[in-house]
Amino acid sequence: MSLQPDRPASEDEKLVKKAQGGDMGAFEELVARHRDKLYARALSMMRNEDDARDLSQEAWIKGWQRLRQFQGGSTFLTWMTRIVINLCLDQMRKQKRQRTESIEGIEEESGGIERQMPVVEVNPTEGLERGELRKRIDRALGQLSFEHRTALILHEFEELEYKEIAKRMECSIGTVMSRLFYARRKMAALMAGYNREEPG
Amino acid sequence: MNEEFKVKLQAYLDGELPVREAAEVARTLDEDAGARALFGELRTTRQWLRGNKPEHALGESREFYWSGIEREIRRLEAAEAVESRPAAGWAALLRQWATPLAGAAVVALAIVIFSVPNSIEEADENRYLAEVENNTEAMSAISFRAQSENMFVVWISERYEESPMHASSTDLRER
Repeated sequence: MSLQPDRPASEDEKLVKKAQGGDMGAFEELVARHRDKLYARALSMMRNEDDARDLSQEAWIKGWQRLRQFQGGSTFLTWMTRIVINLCLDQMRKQKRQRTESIEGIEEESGGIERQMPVVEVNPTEGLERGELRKRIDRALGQLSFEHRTALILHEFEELEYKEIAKRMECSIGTVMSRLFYARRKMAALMAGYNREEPG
Repeated sequence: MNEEFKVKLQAYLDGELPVREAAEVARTLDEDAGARALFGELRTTRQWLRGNKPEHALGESREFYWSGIEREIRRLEAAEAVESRPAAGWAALLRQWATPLAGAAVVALAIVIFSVPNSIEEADENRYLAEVENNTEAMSAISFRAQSENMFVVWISERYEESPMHASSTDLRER
């Protein structure tokens, strides 16, 4: 299955206007254009294909219901991505409420093993082609806790500020800084580890 | 380098430090090789991620994926339309008053069931406990009610003889 090509935002704007007027065909076109990106974001966070598909579909339904609230302050894709991220966060909160906080989780919050990790000084991604690099990044993201992964996704992919991340993750700015720091350190160590397993 | 400084180093990289603190971190970076190495690692990790968001394609066809969304949108809109539809004249009046009236009726019925029969029984108890005699020329009748036994007895006797009476009794069970 091939990925959809990037489309100009101006084409989206026309479709959004039509959809805001009740044109479901235009909305269907928007879904077709961006469904893979939304699904990819949900999958990056949830690490489960079924959850990612269901949550991305739910995001489109919410998008249709709230379409009149979209004022064009960001691109339509950014707006939809924020919806799916919020749904993923809600879903994880529900799942967390159903299980007891593990010792591992508490350790990860405060850094755990990442505190003792040596600094990775050589760039382990040098010479890797982009496709391979993306695969390794995705694999490493999958090895982080949900909190660390989400902090990284919101900061690096969505380019949100600490304050905004704290609001979305319902925690303090200090917690965001700590999660982001240890997530980055663990990513660096994992990427270096993959390089030793299968040199680029 | 303590943990607090390491996190500050990252905030410096992300442009989230106030100017004064940023100047302090910059000075430390100049002087401390360890801080520079850590800063380099954090910066490289950020660069990998920013330029290489993982991509995944849905395995489902466009039509199949959309059909799930469209079905749910239509279902929700239909449900919303039913909820917001105003009820017609008498139906609206009925909907408005049906619940309070039904409630009042239930309360009234409960009062009748639980208080009225008891009061009748209490009021009549003494009457039924007493024997009632009715003497006529041809016959006499004595009625008696035993509340505890839930029994009502009528004793009828003919008067044409002085001898022991021919009697019949009726046992009427109430309730």
